[in-house]
Amino acid sequence: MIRYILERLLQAILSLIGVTIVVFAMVNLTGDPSLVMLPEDATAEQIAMVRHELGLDRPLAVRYLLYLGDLLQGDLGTSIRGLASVPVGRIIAERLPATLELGAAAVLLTFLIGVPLGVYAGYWKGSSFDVAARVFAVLGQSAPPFWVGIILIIIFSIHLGWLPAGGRGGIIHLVLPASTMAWASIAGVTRLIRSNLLETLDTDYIRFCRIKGQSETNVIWKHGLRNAGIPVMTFSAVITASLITGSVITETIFTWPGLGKLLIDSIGFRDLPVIQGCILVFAAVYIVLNLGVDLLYAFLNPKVRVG
Amino acid sequence: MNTEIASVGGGAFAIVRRMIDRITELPLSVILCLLLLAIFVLSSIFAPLLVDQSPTYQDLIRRMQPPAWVEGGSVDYLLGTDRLGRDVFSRLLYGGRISLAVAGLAILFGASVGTVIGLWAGYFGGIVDAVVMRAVDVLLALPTLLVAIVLAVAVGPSFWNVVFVVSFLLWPKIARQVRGELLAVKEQDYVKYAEGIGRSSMSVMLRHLLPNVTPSLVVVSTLELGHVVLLEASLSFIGAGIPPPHPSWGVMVDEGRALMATGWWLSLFPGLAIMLTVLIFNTLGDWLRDTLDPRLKLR
Repeated sequence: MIRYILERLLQAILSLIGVTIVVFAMVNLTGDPSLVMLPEDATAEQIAMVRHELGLDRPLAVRYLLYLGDLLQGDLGTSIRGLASVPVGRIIAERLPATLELGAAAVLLTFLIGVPLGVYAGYWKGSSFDVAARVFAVLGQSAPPFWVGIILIIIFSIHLGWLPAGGRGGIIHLVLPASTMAWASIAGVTRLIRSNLLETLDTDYIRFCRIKGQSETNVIWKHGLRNAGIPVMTFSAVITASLITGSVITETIFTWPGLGKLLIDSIGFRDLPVIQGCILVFAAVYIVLNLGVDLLYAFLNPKVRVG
Repeated sequence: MNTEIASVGGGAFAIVRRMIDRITELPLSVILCLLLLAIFVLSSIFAPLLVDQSPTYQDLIRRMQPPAWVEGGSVDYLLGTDRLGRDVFSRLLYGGRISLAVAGLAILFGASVGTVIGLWAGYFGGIVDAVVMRAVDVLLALPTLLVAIVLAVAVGPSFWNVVFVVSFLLWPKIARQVRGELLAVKEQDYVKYAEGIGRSSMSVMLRHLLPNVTPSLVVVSTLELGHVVLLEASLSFIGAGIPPPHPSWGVMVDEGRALMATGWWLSLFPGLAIMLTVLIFNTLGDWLRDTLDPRLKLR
């Protein structure tokens, strides 16, 4: 177990270092930011001066090591957008709560809707409810999230006028963006819970529970779901990924002031430090959550725990 | 069994008969998907024959017309027109060309590179294997769309750049699949025998190993097609994919976003096209997996 934890930890650290290299290399391919910052008729000397100020005239490897050194001290650099040099760390810290709020709401929706949907569909296999849930699950996994968001806005904001189409505010502002983000993962969880529950309900210990005279509620929700639910944990890595991806697109559609929108806006301005920072935070969240899920899974699964 | 033997020797007519039998044995959902896919592919290829108007032809007098069956719509513009008076139906068909072509080419390149690297790493093992698989781990540890966005912005929006970005994100998955499959196959007796009688590594890989990983390769590639279509659409939607005025489905949804209040049809139809295409590929992929490679189902 300890060996497994250490191995997994090392892998996560390697991934993180890999991320910094990949991000640094990719971002430095996006073109010279000094050209965006200066007017078009800037002289060669002016360009050289700005490049020197930004440290862009140094070799790539040196710039990477400097970047990594700053990173370890918690310094993500300063934004090059606008005149005031604002630390990237502060910009991200300002935006992060909005993204976390949206993400948490989406996760909540995923489980609150996905789990019961999957359980009922699996329990009443072949019923019209089951058919409806399966159609929803298949459509949910095929529909592009950006399109779902737009259709939701057209229906609920423009035609019915029930919900706001953008901005951050109370719970009412959360409904549409969180539904858009959760859409695909609800479909995934429903499908997974349904098929796992079908398998679980066919086992001897469930039959034994029923012979013992336990109530159906107990059999399904306590014994059935507990076993059918474990694979959902492995699926949470997929959910996390889809939520991170989703936040970029959803925040853009709903003008939600979070990290995803910040990233897209910064790409337009070629604001390299901010782009690096956003990707790094997203990737770190993703890697750490994956690590947590793997370790928890190992802890819950005796085969891995002992072996 | 007897009919089987009889039909094998029964000439061309029997062969056609057998093909029809085979097709009718398919599940209804698969037949439907194959039909839809054929319609999508054919209507994209023959788009110039199906619609008169060019997808980029602008007619400002006829702008923002609703679909034909809605009040104010006309039969000339089946799915309406956009804010520049371009025919949405025409754009949808031509957009299919782009979206399907990107998907096909990206799978072709990504799967080829992934297969070669997977075969190489799996067969020779050692330091190359270790390094390549670490790189694969790192690449797969990143959220796909995020990498795609940064990469796409880095290389700039164009058709071939999108193909490149999507292939780049695809090869690690294929390489990992092929390598994993290979580790089991290469221990088989016939492989050992082929090596024993002095066949070259190249010959062993191509003649004995590749055919054995092909079924799962086909399955994974088909399943990935759906992801690829979604990825291209997302990139184009964000503005990092196919550049306007070319009608990619993702671009069309994005163009409709600005006019949500007045032109619901602008986003609706291209989005439906994306959804149906992904649905088709997922259904076909699932079916192929169940028929060709039951072991994958267990995972």
